[in-house]
Amino acid sequence: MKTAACFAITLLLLVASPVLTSEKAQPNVDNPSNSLVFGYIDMSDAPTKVDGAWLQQVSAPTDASYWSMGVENGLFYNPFIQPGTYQLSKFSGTGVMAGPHEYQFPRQGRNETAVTIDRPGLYFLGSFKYVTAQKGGMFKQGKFSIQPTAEPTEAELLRRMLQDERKVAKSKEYNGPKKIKMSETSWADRIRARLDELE
Amino acid sequence: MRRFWILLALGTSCVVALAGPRKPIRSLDELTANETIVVGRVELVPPLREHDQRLRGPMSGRFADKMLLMVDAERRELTQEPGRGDFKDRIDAHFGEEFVVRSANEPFFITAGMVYLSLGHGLPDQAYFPGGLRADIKPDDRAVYIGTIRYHRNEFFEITRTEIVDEYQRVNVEFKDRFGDTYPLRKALLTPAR
Repeated sequence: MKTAACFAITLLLLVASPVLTSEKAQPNVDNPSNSLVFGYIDMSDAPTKVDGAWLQQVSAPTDASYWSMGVENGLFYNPFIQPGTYQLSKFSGTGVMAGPHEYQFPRQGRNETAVTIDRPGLYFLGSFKYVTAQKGGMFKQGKFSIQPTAEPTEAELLRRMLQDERKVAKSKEYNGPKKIKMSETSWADRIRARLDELE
Repeated sequence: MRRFWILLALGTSCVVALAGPRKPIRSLDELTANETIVVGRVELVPPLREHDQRLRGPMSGRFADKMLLMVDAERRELTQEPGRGDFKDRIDAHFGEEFVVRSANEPFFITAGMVYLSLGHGLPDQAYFPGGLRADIKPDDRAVYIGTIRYHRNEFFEITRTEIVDEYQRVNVEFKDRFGDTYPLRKALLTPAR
């Protein structure tokens, strides 16, 4: 009888645990506390293309200090960002000749992309262009900086986002759907409202 | 490629490690005729968070929660990123704990401070802290208290204020408990280098 009770409890825990875990581990893209952070980087002068960007939370510590974002044709965004102060931490990509590359911003100092999110909303970091500041050698990556550019504009990027379907940008603990179509989320209305403001 | 980064990080940490910090002193017997004990402390406000330092790779743990104070017998200013020579003489100060190190019986200058923020994750990344401080060590000193360097920073690791805090009362009691009354701990707080 005792063995049967133990077995039943173990079974119950096994069945219940994924439910409990998934509830904690799946942030909702439509969560009203989320902010949508986005931007654009022109890497045409860089040794490689980039396919990843990382946003670092520099204040209001959380377990997820780094938030990844996919970069496609320069556009990057993440619709899961919680209140706090952030700035871009690095870009990454791979080139045929250059191999895997990381374009890392120094942690010390405020860079051009720093943003403070005090209430949920849309936050445009800006459009930027990669600039080589100092060439690297065979074993050393060069130093770089980014310069703000007028184009693409915030409105252009928002329109692109509405048509975008991509592998979801996520934090480490994210365990939700692999792809998100922004036009099918609650962000679509907010993006359109912002477009109305801009136009 | 991952191996390359690890080797690079290892190389950087070795450069600093090879230079060697001033040795902590455990017993008065270790002190030679022309040496004095220097006691001080470094604090960071707010302190490092769990994710502020990302240290990976062999030997990188030695830099956890520490500031490397670059020390020189001559007053000088850092005009570019410090190299190996700048770490030739240094004090590895664990945040929030007194360092007790051997020093020559002569004044020295703290040129700058450095904290490793990332090792073994791509290029090494550091935060630098202002120096420009002078420790007034006299030829007949055997034990000197130079104070607490308290760096205030914002979330971007920009230094907003530096102060020298006098905690002599407490430190002197601890010093006597540890080393006895053989050498009195003279108070000579760090001053701006001129």
